[in-house]
Amino acid sequence: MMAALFFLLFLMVLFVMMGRRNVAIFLFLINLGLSIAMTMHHVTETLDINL
Amino acid sequence: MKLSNAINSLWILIYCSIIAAAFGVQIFAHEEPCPLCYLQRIGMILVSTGALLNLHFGLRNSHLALSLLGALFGGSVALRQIAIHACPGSSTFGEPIWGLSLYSWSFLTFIASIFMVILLLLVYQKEKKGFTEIGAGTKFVTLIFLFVVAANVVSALLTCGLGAC
Repeated sequence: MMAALFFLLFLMVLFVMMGRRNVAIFLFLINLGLSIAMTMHHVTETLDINL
Repeated sequence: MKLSNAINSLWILIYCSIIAAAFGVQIFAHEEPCPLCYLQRIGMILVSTGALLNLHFGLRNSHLALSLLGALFGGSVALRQIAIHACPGSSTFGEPIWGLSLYSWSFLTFIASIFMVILLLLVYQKEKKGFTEIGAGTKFVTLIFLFVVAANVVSALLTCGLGAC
């Protein structure tokens, strides 16, 4: 999953290089959402709580 | 070179060198990154992406907003890691550098990024929209950034595999 997040970032930089600004911003937002989900997963796992 | 382009290039190069230094600690000190460390690296890349968009498409408020989002995300992850290890009796994760752990330094860089966004908003001048001409400096910075992101893909695959890490 972590590798997939970095791969999405890699794709995002490629789209910036190709001049596809909107696609890059879309990937940015998808990545941010997934990263927040990963952080919440880590928080609930380490604290052993349910949110 | 315009002032905003110079600031954005410097911003990306500083974050690339920070991530490269983290790779140095990972490879030479044999300290495998934790999931929160990877999430902070993602935050750093997200912040730099806003600067990269500024370089390629001109300085815009929307790009600075994306950098701010990345800095807030990365800063909150770093703060979370500081909170885990700040309790009395708990040890730090990894060797401190100049008295601070890597995640504390990371938190400070995200705070600095927020100030950088403020600085760029102060020098912001509305530009004509469209595809700006890409110079050799921008290409160089973009390729270095792409290389750092690709190195992270490989590193995450090697340490975490395809799982959640």
